[in-house]
Amino acid sequence: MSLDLVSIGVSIAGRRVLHDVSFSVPTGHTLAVRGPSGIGKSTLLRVVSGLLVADHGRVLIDGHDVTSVPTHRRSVGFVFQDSQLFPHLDVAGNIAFGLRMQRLERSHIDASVAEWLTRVGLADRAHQSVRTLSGGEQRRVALARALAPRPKVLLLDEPFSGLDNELRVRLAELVHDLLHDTDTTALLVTHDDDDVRRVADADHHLADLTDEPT
Amino acid sequence: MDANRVVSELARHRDGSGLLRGIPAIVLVATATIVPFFGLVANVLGAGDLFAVWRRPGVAGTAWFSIWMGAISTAVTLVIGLPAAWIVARHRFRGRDLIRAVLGAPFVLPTVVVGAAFLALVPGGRGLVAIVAAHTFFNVSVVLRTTTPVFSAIDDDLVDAARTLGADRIRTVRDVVWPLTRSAVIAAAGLVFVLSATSYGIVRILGSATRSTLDVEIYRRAIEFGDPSGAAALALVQAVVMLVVVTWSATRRGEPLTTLATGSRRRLPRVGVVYVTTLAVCMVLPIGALVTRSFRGAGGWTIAGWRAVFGHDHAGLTGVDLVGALGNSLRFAVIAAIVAVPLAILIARPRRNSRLVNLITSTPVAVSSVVVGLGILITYDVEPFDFRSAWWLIPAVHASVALPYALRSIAPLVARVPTGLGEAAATLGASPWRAWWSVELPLLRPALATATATSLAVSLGEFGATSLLTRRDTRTLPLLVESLLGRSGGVGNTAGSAAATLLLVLTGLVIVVLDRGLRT
Repeated sequence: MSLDLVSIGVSIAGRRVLHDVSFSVPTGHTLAVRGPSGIGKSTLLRVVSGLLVADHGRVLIDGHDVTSVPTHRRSVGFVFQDSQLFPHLDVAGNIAFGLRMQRLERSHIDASVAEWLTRVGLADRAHQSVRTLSGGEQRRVALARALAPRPKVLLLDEPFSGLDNELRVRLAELVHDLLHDTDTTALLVTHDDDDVRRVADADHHLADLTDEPT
Repeated sequence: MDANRVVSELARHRDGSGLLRGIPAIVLVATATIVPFFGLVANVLGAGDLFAVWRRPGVAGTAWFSIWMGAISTAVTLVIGLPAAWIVARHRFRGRDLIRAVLGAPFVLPTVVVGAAFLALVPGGRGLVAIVAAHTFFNVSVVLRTTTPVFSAIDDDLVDAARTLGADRIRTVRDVVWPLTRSAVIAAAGLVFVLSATSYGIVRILGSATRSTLDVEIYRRAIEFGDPSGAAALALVQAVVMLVVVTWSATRRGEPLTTLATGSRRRLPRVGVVYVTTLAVCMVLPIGALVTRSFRGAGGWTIAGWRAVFGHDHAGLTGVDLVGALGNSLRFAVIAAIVAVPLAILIARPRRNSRLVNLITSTPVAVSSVVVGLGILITYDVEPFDFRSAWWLIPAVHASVALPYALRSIAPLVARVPTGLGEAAATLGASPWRAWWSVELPLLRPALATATATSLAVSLGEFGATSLLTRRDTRTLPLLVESLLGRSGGVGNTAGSAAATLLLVLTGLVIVVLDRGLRT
């Protein structure tokens, strides 16, 4: 599933955050968008996911215009910077959430959850409360939760921030492998060049994606 | 704004704006409180004797007593209650949960039970000391409930950060803790003052001719002296003053707390444990006195009071229909809770809420229920709006009185559900409705249990409006208690204590079964 952004423009509280941003990500590729914090990288992800409506421009997934499709029908996975795990659900419950929203059969959901638990190395933690997980484990749950419903596009917002270097490398490799195994199109925003190198097929500085210089 | 954006915005906000979701609550509060209040205002302006009634003997004194007694009650309550709230909110120690439960319990006790308990406890019974003590007993729990969520959210690290930046203990409190807790403390103080100054059930039982609040005076003028216009004039002035106090205190904005800290990791100094333990013991005393009193007659231990309440051995007591009163109380409570809790859920969303909704749903707190009852009597006596004997009137009034309490149980928790969780649910394919159902609602479950239990308890204990609206077939348990305690001589006082004990047990059951049972 390809992802195309056409002339996206966003102003928040009168300040222009994104100005005519356009780019394409081919199916199965991972594009990294770099740039210092505060220049609108997260805003870009919110626009792609539909959590934020752009002032102008269009978002196309797999060639279809989804600009006016609400978030829950866009089929985009989102790994939030602070994970945003559901505190009332255990590890398995978090991973199952998106599958439950698709009203899949129980047996199918259970099988898929088990598979994802193994993939992210948390098979023995299925029924543990997410509150008791370490930072790295929480990120892995967030990753599995976002990928389990097989989204058309995966959005990663600084997915490795706040982790120590060793964890960071291991998690980045995991993300890289999972994206390749599942042939998922992904958009990664980060300010870290090492992250880009480890995960992405291509990368751009956000400023370079603007059609005309600001 | 282009068409795409409009469509998308609509799709995202299908769950309705704050105002839209508030409509059912507005209809309820308008019918049960606001329209009667304006009916009352119209009556006063029409009759043109706004000031005449103030020249009647005792009226001005009653108003003055309401204010200074309210101020004393508030001061005593805050001095005793704030340290206790701070301790139980932040520190872990053996027996904390029990102490917290005991200190918070009086909040849901019917006012006539509190009155009956202090009548039994304080030597000499009626008077200023008993009234202020009863208000303190009741309102410490109000302080506890209003401030605990905020106190416990103050992170140790935040305090430490201030200390490392060179703030001493006093400056830390003044420049860090106070700004963060200010809105909760002021809201608590405003609420305590209004609850004390407009106290009715407690003062009906513990007051006297010179120790009486405006609310009691309003009731006497309207029902006993047959002077509804004079009562309305008093009610108007009282309501305006209280509305100003509540609106002012409830809309003080503090800094929002975003931490998810749940108290302090520090050890509590021994004196703190002693303090809250002593206070908890003091809270149990009046209840013990009440239960004991229900078994004490003129000639020592007796069960005559209990027998009289259950209809045996009338001993000069007439018109005691316990079963009828019990049935009415239970029926009204269930209807009130079924109405109030869903409406509270609909409006308990501070992020996108309408100020109008907040204001309207706090009017039942500001406008005392005696004023509401009087307003209904005056307003709804014209066809086709003669609702005074409609079956739904008392339950509707109870629901509108319970609504702000239900809202207070739910709103603080709603505010602490991170926005990001709803967004995460949306990206996983949950529609706004399903995101609410499968993420927000489960996180609110403890609050919903509390809201339901509180609504039931508020209705069971509602005395003010009910005392004006009741007819022979709608008498409730609190009315029975008051009328028994008011009978001089004979077995009246003992029987009244027995009926109050029964009401106490009923309320306790509701709280224990629902609040404790559904929380987990």
